[in-house]
Amino acid sequence: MKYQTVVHILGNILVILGGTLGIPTFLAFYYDEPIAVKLAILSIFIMVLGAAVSLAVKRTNSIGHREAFTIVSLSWLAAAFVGALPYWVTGVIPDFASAFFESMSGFTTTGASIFTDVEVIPKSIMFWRGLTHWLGGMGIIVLFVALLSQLGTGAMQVFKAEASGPITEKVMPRISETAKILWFTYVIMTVVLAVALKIAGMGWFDSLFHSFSAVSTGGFSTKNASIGYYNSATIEWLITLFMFLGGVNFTLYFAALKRKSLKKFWENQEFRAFLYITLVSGTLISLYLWKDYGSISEAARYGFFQVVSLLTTTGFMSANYEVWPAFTLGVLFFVMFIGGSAGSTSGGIKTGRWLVLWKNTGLELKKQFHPKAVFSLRIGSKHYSEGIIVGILQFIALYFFILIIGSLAISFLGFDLLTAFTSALACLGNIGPGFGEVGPAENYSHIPALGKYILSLLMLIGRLELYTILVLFLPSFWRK
Amino acid sequence: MRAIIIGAGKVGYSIAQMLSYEGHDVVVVEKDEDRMAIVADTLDVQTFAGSGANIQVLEEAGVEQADLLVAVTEADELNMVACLLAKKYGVKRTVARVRNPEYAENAHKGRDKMSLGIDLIINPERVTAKEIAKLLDVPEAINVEYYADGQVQLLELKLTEECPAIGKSLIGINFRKPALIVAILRKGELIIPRGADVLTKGDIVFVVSRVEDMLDVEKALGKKRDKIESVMILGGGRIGYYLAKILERKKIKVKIIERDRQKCRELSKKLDSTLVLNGDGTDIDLLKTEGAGEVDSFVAVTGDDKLNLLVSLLAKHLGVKNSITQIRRSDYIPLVEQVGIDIVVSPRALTASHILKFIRPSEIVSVSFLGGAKAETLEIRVSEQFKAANKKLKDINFPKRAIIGAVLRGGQVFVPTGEDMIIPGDRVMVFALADSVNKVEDFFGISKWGV
Repeated sequence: MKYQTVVHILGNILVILGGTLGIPTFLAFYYDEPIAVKLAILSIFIMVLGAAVSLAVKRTNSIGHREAFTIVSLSWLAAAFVGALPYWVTGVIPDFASAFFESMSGFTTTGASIFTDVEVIPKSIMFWRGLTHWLGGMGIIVLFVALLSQLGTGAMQVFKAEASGPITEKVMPRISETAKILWFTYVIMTVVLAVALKIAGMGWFDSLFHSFSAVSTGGFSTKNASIGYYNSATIEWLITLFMFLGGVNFTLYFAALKRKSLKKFWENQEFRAFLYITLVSGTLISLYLWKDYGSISEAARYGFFQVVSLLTTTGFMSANYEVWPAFTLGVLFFVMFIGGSAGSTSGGIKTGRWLVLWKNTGLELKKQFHPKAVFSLRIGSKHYSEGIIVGILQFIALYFFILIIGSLAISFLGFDLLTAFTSALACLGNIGPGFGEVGPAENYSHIPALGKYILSLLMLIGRLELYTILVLFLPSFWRK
Repeated sequence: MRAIIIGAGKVGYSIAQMLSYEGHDVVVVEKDEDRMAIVADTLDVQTFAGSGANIQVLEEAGVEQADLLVAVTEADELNMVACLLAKKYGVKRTVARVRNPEYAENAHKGRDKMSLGIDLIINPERVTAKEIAKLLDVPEAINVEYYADGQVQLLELKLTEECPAIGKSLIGINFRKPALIVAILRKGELIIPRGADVLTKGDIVFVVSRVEDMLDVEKALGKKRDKIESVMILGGGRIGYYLAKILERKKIKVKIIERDRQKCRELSKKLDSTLVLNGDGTDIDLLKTEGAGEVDSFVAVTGDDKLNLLVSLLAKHLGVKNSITQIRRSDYIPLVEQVGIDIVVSPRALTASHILKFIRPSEIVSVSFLGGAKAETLEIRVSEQFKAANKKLKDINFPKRAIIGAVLRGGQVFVPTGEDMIIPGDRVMVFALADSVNKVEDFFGISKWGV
């Protein structure tokens, strides 16, 4: 392991984090908040610390697999830690465990909150909450690569360790160009949604915040009642659409733009599966809620919002779905396991992996009565080798294993099974709200400190797609 | 005309033979001395030893005066290079045999800018697969050809006991739709029948009709068309792959049996709905469990003639109705048809005829070779100078061993009788025995083989 390289890059990441902290600092001065000075000192301190570290420790040239995993894991931990400081130092969140949970929930775009009343948070700190979502959505490393493009030959390893989904594609020959294009797409989408929300009747601050939160499929809101506060069908449908778009593979936008045709989307089987799942689950719930809401359009408005919110692992709410009929809860619970597309900002197991499992199941069944047949699994024009398939199936199995261990740990702290299981699921899948004591009308403030750290770890494991974090626990990883 | 043939394999040999027989100057370039000696001994052509991609050899062979160059060696790249060089020397037409689909498909995509300037790139496996697919459209026929832009069909049908026309004279058969039996293959001999000739059991008849009338015509000859819905292919080589690809597009259920596991993997990657089976074709258990007897057609296209023959017979034994077998050694073909195989295809014969079609003069729209190249059908554009215009067919002194099967006039097709006339601008489909092809061409005033 080349520790110098790891430390050097961590120093750089600290500089970026300290720099971004400058934005809420500026806001604090602008709104004349008493915490402004504290934030300014914090921001400068982190930048100086980062710069000192990266100047003191020179990197060696190349980055291997081990360095890549370490860099990504430690960068995320550092981000969560640094991100917690503004809450803690300013006293907005007095205990550090809660501040760390809130910060981790922000960066991993989980959207689970420990605030019982978000509407009293100072504007600057509130903006920081939104900003953590937005930075984490596309990825801290992707941002780093796009900004500094100095990872050199090992860049792809680092990129892969952070990216979501089983297969990472480059849209440009150079990884730094790819990262720039991804960020560019992300920025455009955010701006479009923010402007649209402003037109639909939100204030500038709130529309930008919710745009951060929706496009990154995060889930934080400036209101206690989440999106339900605005009680506007336009706003809800707009956010439904952009949560969905955030759950689409970002490379598709670039490919579609390059070809100037929407066909690229339709040709992508994962996109089609994602769309079908959205439409079928949304329609089922809407039909079921028809009676309760009186009209189909109202039922669809609430039904689709909740489905897309949980499917893309955003976690916004426009209704307290826990009072809905049992079947609709079943559908919502089901979509929480699916997640968005590979290469999107969403979390969870991802539609692409389920697609592989689904197709492979079909092939396994066929093999039973065609013992001599040779099959190959293809999604679109891409062929999946045996090794990749096993890796994907292993991922799904491992995901459930971690989920069970996580539920066990939370239930050990004294919570009922529904709360324990759905809190673990909501954190591992980066969703946010679960059921029971962590349901849409509740929050995570009453979870004890140990529970908050466990759930934070689950969020990180889920965001970095299991392996990046899990390899760190392997003793042989650290040996020479 | 001077033609240079590079490569004196089976295909090269048959093209050299045809062209030389037609009275052209043919030069054959071949690397292998033994093959060259065979060509020099049996054909009236000039031979050169050497590589077709060598400028000196080409110049010695007289490439500067040549009008046509056909490169049919085993090596794709050599064929392509020879054609490219020939173009530089100003050869008007070049033909290359290219097997590798990566090169061959460049020519099929229709992107002129990317083409190498080779006039015809022929891919024997693709040609064979297309031919088999065409035969599967009309499974009851031994051979099928289309004329007049697909409006006219010629079928080669073997008469079985159920045929109600057996024992009747041709004039006595009621086809209910316009149709004409242009030839009968009886005991290995091809004859152009007269109205009084009587059909017997075991005859193979060549019948011409409009495509939409053909079903009725077949009924009169005791044949019924069963649509092919499932096919089993033995051999996952290039022919098997191309065929599966074509059949998939027609929504036909396909199973491929291939012995090589690696090839199976490749096939399963490239094909969609086809079921790829890894196993030996002679494994009767595999054939049984995968239902070789229940499919509508069994196609054997491995590289091994003996295996193709054996497994086709096995499939026949298991109950398959229709079987198509690839045989490379064309001299075996008449023999194979005797032992109960329905249809035999030979990639080499198909390649040769494909190339010959291409180098026909412009008055001839298309040409096909039938009954093991014992006869040809020519589709001829009748010129303004046609000397027998506006005369009734019964009054014309038409070549004896040839017959007019159909006429295309102003987009309409009809099967002519003795009362009909041929006028300039018509397209006529003529069936001619091999030795009278020249006479037919003279009759219509066609400039010989002008490339």
